[in-house]
Amino acid sequence: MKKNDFEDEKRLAEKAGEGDVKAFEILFTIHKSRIYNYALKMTADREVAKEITQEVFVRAYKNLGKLRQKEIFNIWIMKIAVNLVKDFFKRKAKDSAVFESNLPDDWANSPQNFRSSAHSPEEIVIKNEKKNAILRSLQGLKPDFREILLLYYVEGLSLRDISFTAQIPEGTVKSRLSRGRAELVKKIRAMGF
Amino acid sequence: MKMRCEEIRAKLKDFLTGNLSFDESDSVEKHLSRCDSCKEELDFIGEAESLFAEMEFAEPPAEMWNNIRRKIEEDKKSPFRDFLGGFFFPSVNLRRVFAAVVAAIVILTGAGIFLLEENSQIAQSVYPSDYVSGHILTSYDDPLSDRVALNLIIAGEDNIR
Repeated sequence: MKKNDFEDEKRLAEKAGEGDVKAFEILFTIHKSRIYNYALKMTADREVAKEITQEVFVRAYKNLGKLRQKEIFNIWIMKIAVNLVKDFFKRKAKDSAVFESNLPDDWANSPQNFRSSAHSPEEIVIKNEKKNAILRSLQGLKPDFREILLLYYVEGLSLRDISFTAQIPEGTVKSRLSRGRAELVKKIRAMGF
Repeated sequence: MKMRCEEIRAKLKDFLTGNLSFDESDSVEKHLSRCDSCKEELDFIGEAESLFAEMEFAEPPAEMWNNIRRKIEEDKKSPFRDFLGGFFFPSVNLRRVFAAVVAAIVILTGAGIFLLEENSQIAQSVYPSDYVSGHILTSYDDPLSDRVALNLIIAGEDNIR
């Protein structure tokens, strides 16, 4: 995000914090995709991801007035999402268990989940199989590891911002990132990729 | 993990993207040539980078904003709930005001009790016998002096004791 974007977003957050719904709608448009995709890749459930995303924005609107540093809106809203996803896993009592996805087996083949650079039919098949393996492997990780990997690789947050968002020490972020990455790669290799 | 390995691992991402100086890159390369564990970590980082690079965002459902807006409007239309919410879960500022009001009530009540005590002591000191005794003293030589009043003084002082 450029400096001007940060300033624009800060101004929007200030207005929304004073109750300006139009300003909040713009913030929603900017951040809806990242929040929804984080929730979707964590829960692997489109309906749950939608519910979580809606709740994230409702809570954000209600509490934005209390946020002192409006310039950290993008990280603050991700923190709400991380907390709500954690609540979801607590409710499901699957925090330490391997998550069972309820997505269809061919979900990974859906063009919306990956960029496609393959051209021939064989390449497309191999690519789709690999995509499927990546998503299944990611969902096979403990939520703690999946959370850190998504925040680091997909969200592009720094270790410090992940520490703030997930409310864990930076050292724990580093170790979960390293272990999660190793487990993910091992799982994919075990599938023959 | 050795300290040296920790230092090297912190630089692996930059090593992969070519963001290290020539000397730093050379030192990482030398370490990797003799440390299998760090070499494996480098492979994991490289593979994870490429795996996540292939991921793309799914399009969020279109109806979400309408649902959010409806919830926001519903909350705005229920000021009674907000009032109760504010009463039971007040904000920091409200809590401060509440604490100040409670402190003021305690102080005023204390001051009131102190003043009442003072007044009752004043009332006690203005015992009728003072007036009566004054009267007795001024009319000491009067043959018609009030003997009943004298008895009252004696009875009153007995009560005080």
